[in-house]
Amino acid sequence: MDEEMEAIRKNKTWRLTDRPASRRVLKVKWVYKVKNEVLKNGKNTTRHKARLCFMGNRQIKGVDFNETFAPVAKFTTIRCILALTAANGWELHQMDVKTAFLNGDLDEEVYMEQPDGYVDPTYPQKVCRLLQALYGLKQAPKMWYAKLDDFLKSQGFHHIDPDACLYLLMDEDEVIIVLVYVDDLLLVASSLAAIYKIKKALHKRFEMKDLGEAKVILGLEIRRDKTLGTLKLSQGKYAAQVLEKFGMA
Amino acid sequence: MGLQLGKADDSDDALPYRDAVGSVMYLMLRTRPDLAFAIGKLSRFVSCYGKEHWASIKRVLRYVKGLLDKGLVFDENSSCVLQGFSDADWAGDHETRRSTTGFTFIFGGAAVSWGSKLQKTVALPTMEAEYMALCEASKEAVWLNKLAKGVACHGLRTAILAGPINIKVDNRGCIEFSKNPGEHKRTKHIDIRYHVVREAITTDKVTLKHCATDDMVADPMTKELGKTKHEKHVKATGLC
Repeated sequence: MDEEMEAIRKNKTWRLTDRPASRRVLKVKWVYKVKNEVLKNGKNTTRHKARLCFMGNRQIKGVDFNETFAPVAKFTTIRCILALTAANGWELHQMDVKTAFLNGDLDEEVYMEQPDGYVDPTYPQKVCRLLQALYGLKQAPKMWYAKLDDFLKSQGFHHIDPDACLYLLMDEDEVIIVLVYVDDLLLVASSLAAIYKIKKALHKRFEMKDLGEAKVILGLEIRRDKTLGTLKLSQGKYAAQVLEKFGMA
Repeated sequence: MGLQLGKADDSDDALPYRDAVGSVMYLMLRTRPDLAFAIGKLSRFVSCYGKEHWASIKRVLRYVKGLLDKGLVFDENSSCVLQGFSDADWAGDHETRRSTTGFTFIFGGAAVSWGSKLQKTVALPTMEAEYMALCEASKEAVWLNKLAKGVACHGLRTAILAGPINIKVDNRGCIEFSKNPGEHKRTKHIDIRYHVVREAITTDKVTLKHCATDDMVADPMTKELGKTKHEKHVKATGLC
């Protein structure tokens, strides 16, 4: 919980103000989750995660939010890019953005009560005016996408018409491709140097987690054999889970 | 699965049929084109399933179990030119006599896009069913062509060929009809919407080529096949 509040403070997500007379004040809620994670040394651990969630279900369209749509990469695009990666022997890395939705800038006026357990002792009566997005906020995904789009364009990337989540950059004969799936980023480049370059730029701008060479993206397992020049995309783990669910394992 | 399924009168809610179909569909959409037809067929019954439908999905699950780790294998030695396949199974649905559309696009050694779909209207001649299938495949090809062009114009010219996408069809009549806008008695009922095929050809987005039924990779997208044939086509989609 403290970790989440720290991220929120760092981002200047809200500012305390007096209760507005003519605006609705919505609530937030803590959501807890136990996550299984594989460490770099291959060991499994569990992590307890707390996330402050805005109760977007109480938001009214036209009053508290307008547009909510945010694009994600199409699977056909992902498969095409992976085919190109295998064909050209490119590097394939993966990163995810920590607390991605906290990065979006809010342009609508939204107020919320102070979160449980973190009420300011000197001003318990005040409410929070949101300046940046919060998980659960209806417009959060769209705002995050807009922010990342701005950043990638400032780095010289272009996105292409058929898939708004595919970004390309040709830099001194180096090809760099970024595929965006909300807060999961797939980085493809013709050399490791180019991969490091884009990683560095991303680290500088956002709070990122570097996952190294892509092994699992969106539940798809990637296995590469660089000597044979093959890239295999499979879902064995998911398939096994399905069989177990139906008692057929 | 040479099975003729009818609608059950009452869904047996005790069976997790919908859950099972949904779970396998997720698998099919991401990495398993070989399951497309079976799931397409079984998902027609999610609101009217009985014991026989449950038995069928169990059979699909057993098939999955046998090939648990199968996945799409992209290979640097394979052709980096997009190759489409379009096929139809005429009047495959026994209840409505509608035909089934199937298409597969192969790129870099494995399938990147595929689909299996019951057609919306009854096709009279087989050529019409093939033409309706080709319409779906062309729509996908137009999008893939845009994607390839988008990638190519940002400097990846060497990596991807952005010319028209070739689609293989196993029906000569259908190819002729796509090129030749002449109308006559037997084709005058074909709906205008299916002529996106002609437009895709005249605007250089798609070219057509004939191939033998035995080499039709989209064949398993349209009907149940025997084991040998199924395995042959599955291999051609890069699944191993």
